[in-house]
Amino acid sequence: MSIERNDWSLQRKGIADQERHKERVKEAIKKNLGSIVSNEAIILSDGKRTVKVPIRSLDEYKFRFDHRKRKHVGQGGGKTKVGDVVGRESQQGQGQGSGQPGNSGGAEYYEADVNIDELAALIFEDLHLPFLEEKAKRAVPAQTTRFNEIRRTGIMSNLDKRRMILENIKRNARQTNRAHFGGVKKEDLRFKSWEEDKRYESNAVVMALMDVSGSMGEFKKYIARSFYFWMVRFLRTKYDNVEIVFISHHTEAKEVNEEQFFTQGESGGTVVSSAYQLALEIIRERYQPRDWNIYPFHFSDGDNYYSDNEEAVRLANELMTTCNLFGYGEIGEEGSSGYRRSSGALLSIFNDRLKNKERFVGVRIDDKEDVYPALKQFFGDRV
Amino acid sequence: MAQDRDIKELEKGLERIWEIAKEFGLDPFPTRFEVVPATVMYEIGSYALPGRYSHWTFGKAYHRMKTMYDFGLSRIYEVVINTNPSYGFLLETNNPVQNKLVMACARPRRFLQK
Repeated sequence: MSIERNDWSLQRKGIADQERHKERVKEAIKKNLGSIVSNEAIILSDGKRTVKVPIRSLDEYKFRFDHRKRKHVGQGGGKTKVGDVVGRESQQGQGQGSGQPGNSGGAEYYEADVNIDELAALIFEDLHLPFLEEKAKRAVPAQTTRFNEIRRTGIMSNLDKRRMILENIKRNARQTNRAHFGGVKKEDLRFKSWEEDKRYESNAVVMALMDVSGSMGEFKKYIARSFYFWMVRFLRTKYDNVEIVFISHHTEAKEVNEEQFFTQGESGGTVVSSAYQLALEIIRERYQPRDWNIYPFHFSDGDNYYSDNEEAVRLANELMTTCNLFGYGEIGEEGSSGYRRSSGALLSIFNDRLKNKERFVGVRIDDKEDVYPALKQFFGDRV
Repeated sequence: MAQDRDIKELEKGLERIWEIAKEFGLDPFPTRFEVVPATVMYEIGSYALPGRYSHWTFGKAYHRMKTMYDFGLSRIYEVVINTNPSYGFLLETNNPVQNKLVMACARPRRFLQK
């Protein structure tokens, strides 16, 4: 019988294994970013700090005994003879065609609580604004003053009293072998000195164009919005000086604020050129290409009013002469991957007829999982 | 240190508990009690045995249990390894009264072995 206390302060096993688990979760998230990016829980999280992300790859394997190899019991009716079958194992899997609900257990998976900011950091890791150029009029540099130096001379208002007292005590200790404060001389004085920090950043404006016509169903709008959700988040976290202009259009285009852009629903036909026209006007009025890096992005279902295509191509070409990169995303019907419409789809028209192709990125999205690759294509590294 | 005083108090209590157990005709195994911090307590809990090998699945269990404890949602009061001699682990953050109760409770487990 004894009671002890030992020093466990070096014991790290639990914490180390916990870290390993976290590391694995992070890896799994990285592999599944495609499906996580378009996860409703995140897009609709309303500023909640953490979201639950299902992770199916973190299985814990274990040994299981084969049920059939165990001894089983049966019961006779009383007049049982040798050779009678007293019991039969119930048959596995009575799947009776399609209509029957299954009775097999679902696969268990682990749900990790992930901080949205951590997730965003993972997603944005290698994204950036492409073709960013230094423009003539630089953005007003963020000027901050940092007191980061100590000098022996300076103005009295910048006196570092704490250091002065320390120096004084040290000098007294040296000279009189007794550490005390008193008799401040000029050589004890210490002054704080500062440095001015200037960060120049190029001006950039991103124009988010979205089709809100009647043909943009729930799914398509959801895709466009989840793309823009991440794009806005990405721009705000990585760049200080990026302005975002929101334009939504059906047959007419109008500039809207962020809230309207992400919530409003509308109907009507589609005249894509109206949005490009408005974008060009805004560029002319507010964002001179001389001073600004301009990035228009447009999401639509490609169902343009047929007589408008000529005009749309013309204006898109004009847009591309003024801007750094023009991104166009075409959203297909849900689950119709591989299916391409032969005519009418704006993406194929753009691909055929735009002039300056290296500044054009066209993406087709048929599935929720395509949102992340689209982000990467627009903002990722170019080969 | 207050905690050393606690240990002394626990030792006194332990003697008394053993006396009472003998009076009831119980014959507990000799037991080595150890007061451990919460991290170690939860390690034993999540690895199921002290000194078990390192694996991320234990880390997952450890994370869950320890977080519950940190938020005050659960608490492991004691872990007893029923061997001969037995081992008992007491939580450092329990107060002495709780730990005495735990020690007294741990012993009647002797019944389970008969």
